[in-house]
Amino acid sequence: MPMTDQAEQQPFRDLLVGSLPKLRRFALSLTGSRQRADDLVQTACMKALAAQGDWRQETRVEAWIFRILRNAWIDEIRHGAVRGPHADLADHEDAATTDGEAAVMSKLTLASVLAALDSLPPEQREVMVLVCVEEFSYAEVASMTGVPIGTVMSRLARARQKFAGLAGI
Amino acid sequence: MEKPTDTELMAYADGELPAPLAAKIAEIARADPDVQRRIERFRAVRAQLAQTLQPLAEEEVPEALRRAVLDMADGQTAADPRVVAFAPRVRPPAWRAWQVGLAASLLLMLGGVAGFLAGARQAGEGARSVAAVGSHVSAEIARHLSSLPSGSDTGIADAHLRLIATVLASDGTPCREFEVDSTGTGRTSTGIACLRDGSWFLDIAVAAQAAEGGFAPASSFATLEAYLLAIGAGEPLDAAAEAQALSAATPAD
Repeated sequence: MPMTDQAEQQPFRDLLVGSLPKLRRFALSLTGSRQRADDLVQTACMKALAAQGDWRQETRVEAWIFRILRNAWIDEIRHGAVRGPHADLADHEDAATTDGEAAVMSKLTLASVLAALDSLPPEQREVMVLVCVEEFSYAEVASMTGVPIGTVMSRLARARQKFAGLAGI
Repeated sequence: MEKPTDTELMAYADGELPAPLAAKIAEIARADPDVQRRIERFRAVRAQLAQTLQPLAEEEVPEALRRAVLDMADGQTAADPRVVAFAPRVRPPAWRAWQVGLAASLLLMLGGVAGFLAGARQAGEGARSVAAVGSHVSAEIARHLSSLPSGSDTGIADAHLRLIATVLASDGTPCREFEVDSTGTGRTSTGIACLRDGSWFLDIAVAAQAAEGGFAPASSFATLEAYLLAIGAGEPLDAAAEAQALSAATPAD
């Protein structure tokens, strides 16, 4: 197993720990569940540490780690593992307002936003969160998701229109 | 300029348009309330989403998660491969072991899995039909591993077999992820079997109480991910590459 020089490793470790709050938010907005989100973050960190030699300084480290987390999430979907108990936030925080598509969200709560995100197809959900919440550029998102920038834009436009309909915006 | 498309208006709202085009859109929007309203709608969705999810990034990271990441990062120098405390769910040793070296990782995981399987065997009929770790899988499962494409599932004795994916280890060995749901016991075993000299060997298996809907919980998925990382597995093969990789399998019976 290749040994990384300690002097190089410390900053990476600190970068990783420093990005945990945003990684958790991203994971939660993808999965809708705190438990799954923290598992996903841990898996992504494990993979990032194993692959840290692949990180190129010219890429923002956040974009690189977000892509790893996003890929781990896609793997999980493929694996079927995400289809267990799911919307724990929607269940517990304000169950009364989470009728999904049927409910017009008069007041946007965390749970209702997560429920609306959950109603989007995964490929729309991820671009929506990466651009609107995590503030990545279209080009960064195209590179993270491996699709052309035009595809990112059309997914994002569809996601926003659907969300606007749900939220009554 | 013709009436701008939704995608153009969205890119304008996001500040993603080159300056000359942005200037044109701004001019059109000043003259056309409908265009202005569409731009505002894109902005409003972004603002609502960002505002609502903002507090999540300000939450304190749970100490168990922070500790687990630090421990993984420091794993190369840590001598004590103790299990990371991550109550209440089981954290397999793989979390700590992945960096210690391949041999150590395998031993730790196999030790842990033997325990899991022993429990599974007592608990239900279905687990018995899989195999002990390190040995051949049953002839019935071997036949399905050799022939069924990933994404498909089939009934086997007292259980349900689901083929998840095929990957190649760094030495080119084809390995398959699969799940076995034991009928009636609520147990799901997730495993990875690898094809060596024409036979399928069970390299790792994790037995877990199935979540609702018969799927393994995420933590067992993480264990398999650690194993795949340890054997240098690449991305899952597509259907054609999978068929090619499986052509090395001889009929198991």
